[in-house]
Amino acid sequence: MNIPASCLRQAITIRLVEERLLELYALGEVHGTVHTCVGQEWSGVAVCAALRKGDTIFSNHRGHGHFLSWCDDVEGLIGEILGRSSGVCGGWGGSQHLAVAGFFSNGIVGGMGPVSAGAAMAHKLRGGGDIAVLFIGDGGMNQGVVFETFNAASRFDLPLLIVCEINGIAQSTAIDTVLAGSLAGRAASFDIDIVEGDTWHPEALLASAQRAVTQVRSRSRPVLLCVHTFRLNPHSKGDDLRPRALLDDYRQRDLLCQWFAAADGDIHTLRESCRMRVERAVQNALAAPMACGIETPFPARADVIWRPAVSPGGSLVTRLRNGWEKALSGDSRVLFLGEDVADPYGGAFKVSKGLSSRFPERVYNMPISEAAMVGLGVGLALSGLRPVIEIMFGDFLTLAFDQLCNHAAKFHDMYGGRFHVPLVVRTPMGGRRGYGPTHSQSLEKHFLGIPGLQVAAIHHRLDCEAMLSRLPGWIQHPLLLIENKTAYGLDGAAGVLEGFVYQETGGLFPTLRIHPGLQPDVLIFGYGGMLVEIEAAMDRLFVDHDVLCAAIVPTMLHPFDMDPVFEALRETHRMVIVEEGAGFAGLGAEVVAMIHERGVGPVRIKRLSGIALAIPAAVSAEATHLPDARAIVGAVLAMMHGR
Amino acid sequence: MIHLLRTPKISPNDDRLLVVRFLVEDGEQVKKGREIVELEGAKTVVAVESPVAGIFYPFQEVGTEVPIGGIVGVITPTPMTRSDILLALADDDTRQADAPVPSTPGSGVRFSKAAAAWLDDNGLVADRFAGHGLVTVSRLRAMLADEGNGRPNGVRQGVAPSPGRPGANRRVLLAGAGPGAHQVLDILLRDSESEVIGLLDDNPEKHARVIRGIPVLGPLEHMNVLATQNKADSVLCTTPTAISFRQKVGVMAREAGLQLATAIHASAIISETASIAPGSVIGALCYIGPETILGENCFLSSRTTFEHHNQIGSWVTTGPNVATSGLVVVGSGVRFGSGIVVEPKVIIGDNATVASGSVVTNDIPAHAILKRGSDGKPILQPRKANP
Repeated sequence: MNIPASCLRQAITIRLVEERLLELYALGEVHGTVHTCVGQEWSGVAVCAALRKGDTIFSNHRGHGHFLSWCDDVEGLIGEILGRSSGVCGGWGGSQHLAVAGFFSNGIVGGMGPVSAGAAMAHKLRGGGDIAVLFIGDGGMNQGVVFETFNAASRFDLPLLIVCEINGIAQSTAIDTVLAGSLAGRAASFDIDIVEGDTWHPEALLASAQRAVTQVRSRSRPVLLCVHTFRLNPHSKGDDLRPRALLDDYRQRDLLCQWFAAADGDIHTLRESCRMRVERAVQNALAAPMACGIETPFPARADVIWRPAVSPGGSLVTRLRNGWEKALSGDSRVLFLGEDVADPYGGAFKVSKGLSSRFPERVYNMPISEAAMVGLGVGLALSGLRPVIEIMFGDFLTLAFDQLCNHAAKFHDMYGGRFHVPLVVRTPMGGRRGYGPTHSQSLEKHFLGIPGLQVAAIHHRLDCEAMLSRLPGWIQHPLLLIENKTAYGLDGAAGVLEGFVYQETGGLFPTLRIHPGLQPDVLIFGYGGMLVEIEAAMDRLFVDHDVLCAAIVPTMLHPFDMDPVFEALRETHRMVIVEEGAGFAGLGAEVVAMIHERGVGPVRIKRLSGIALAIPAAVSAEATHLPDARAIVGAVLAMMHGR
Repeated sequence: MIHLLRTPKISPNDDRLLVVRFLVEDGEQVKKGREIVELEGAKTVVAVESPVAGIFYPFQEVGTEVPIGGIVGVITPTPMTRSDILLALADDDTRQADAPVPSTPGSGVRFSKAAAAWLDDNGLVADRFAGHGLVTVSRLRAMLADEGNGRPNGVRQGVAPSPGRPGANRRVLLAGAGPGAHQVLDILLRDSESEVIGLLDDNPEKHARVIRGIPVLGPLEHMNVLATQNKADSVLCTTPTAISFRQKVGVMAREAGLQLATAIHASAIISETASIAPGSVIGALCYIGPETILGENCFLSSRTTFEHHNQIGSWVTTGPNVATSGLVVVGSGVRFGSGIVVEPKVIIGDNATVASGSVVTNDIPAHAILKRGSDGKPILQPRKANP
């Protein structure tokens, strides 16, 4: 047998680490669970033996072996799983969420697919010949986002090695009972070459992995490496329904089991040296301090200081386009991806018109694969680029929810604050265009409150050109940028309310305050596309009804700064909150809760929002469905008259 | 180079500061770091130092309120006339950094429809409001009221007090023969200008009793008859806290053609420029500051201090040791417990209740109750049901 000593040592170390972890688990030292790869070690060992520094690995919930094969950080792994601050992620990730330079694992089956393709795209753009690797199981080969990944990786010629560990079981379900067609058929349909190997013949597997890696690297094309293997242990612990005889049969076939049976010889010596190393790591981990908190990524906010607001001229869509053009020209890390964004179409709402002509190497059309598109963005951002993903309609964001919530937003915290995802996802929300129930919604509330995910809403008075041009240098954490369809055509300088003072707080995402200059009677709160309705209502209330209103219009919705609201509410003790989306559990509800938590005093509050029904397409029905200036005027007057 | 001395932001509560006094003369040579002016916010008074050496010229008067960032005065390197300073400032771009000017049409004023109609109805010319920004009817009323009585700008017109001093009590009937009657008798029996001729009380058990030599004559409903029989000139309510009773006494007194009497303890200090409407009881050691207006039929227990420029409504009652700072507005029917401190410029709405021991730093809406929690922190209860 001709296996390099380093590979032997790695395989033995993985086996010993996991066996020791199971012992520690039994002793109650492990909080949570441990998914072991006992029986599958050679897969990670063989693939990593063919990789080089600069490549990037994306692994899954059964990733200890991949991790150790990549970086050999035994102490970091054991510390992590024992919840120690000495763990690779400071104890925040645990068994399923490991990260070191060039290695990331996550517990969502298939979810790392598009992220790995994004990293592969970054490698390709950089041109250094590095590749990305995705470890996935045969149980993961029924996830839709994996097919989206195959499609994108193949069509865009991405240097991505997909390693499928075929152990025939998905947690407790035999794969053949839930899988139609074949893995080979899946790869073939996307024009992806297959290389095969198994963990009972590590020498051959090493050669297969080397061949696959070389092919990916030299041709910049995806390859599927199918590694036939067997998971000797349960999925987690105690949840194994397979026949004992089957397990015994495979245990006898397992090389490491055979070698460990020997009481002396080279392997025995090697094993003893590995065992001592693992034991040292365990003792060091047990002696290390328990994991503690990491710093919040969003620093404490400063005092509210109002300064004159700029009301920029030109339509919002023009200013957005100019802003992105400045962002692209000012920072070569910026990429602009989305459906139909390239010229001559230039995006469904023409925000990107002209951008692909000017920056052909950084503005791409994407397949209709929202999850993969956002996942690609996550991988690109994790690789240090500044991707901007356009989702054509905000309604389609639901397709990318997992990528935003369980990938983009999580990585910073769960990898111990050591990695950043400077990703922008931008999308138009809002109705009044007759697009009907699935193209008119304001769904941002579903994305508010996800730790690590910033959500901002642009309104037509915002100087978004300046904001976007500074965005690539500012962004560290994922940002969901909400636009509004009806606002695209509005001129930021036109129709400014006469007699009212426009002021804003500082920063990239200022809160706008419109104030009558005198004691206002009622405060109106709203964001994004509602600004135009709020302004119309304020004007009518003053002219027709002799009522003075102030407005607070935030741009950053999460994390949310309540101070401007508190300050304004102290003046009026009366507030109307208006949201275009369904009101239940929306930002308005959160604002009301925070007001009561703070104990601002007796306040009267009314909320206006879209009716809790699907948004109708008919023009008359849609008009009554969504809150508008008339509704705001009505609510303010009702409040003035004590109702 | 002319240095502008601006009002600093000193707390999150203050958007404007009161000019208390200047510590240097107009045109005085000052050194860098010299304290120039004292400014008062809701919670504190600060002295503003000169950022440079030079000659100081004030641009505001004592008693005016200046928005944060507004110019209090200037420091010039050499002596300058006021018009030269203004000319120099006109060329100075830094003035653009001042608080933003509302965008208004040419005249700088915009009327609501109702305000425009109100102007018409009252035969007023719109021009005189140029530069006032948005103008509503209530704003018009407030501006005209300010012009009429010269009260400081910025104080809300919450109450309609009767200015002036009450006339002599002469022969007084006291309404109510409870404990409060003892407090009032203590004042009036020493007052050479008052002759207490009897008490009225609806409780028959008290009829024909004598308190400090004064007989209880009969029930309140007989006020008219008893006043005529006993040749009474005025009536004074002795019940501190029952506001509806105090209001009822006021109405009955007017119907009976009686004045409302006033009882001011000899030890109380009332500023020359304070206005006291009739009907009030002002206990021992009280102080009513300059330009403070007290509404009718109030009952102030001992050591109540209403400092300068307060506007106190009618039927306000206090326990001992209630003190307001300057520029406080108290609505009608407000009840104070004892031992209360009210910060400057606080506005307390009609019929609010302030619990004993409160330190009032923020406005209290009408009908609300400010309580003290078990930890001593104030708790503002929402208003009671509409009265």
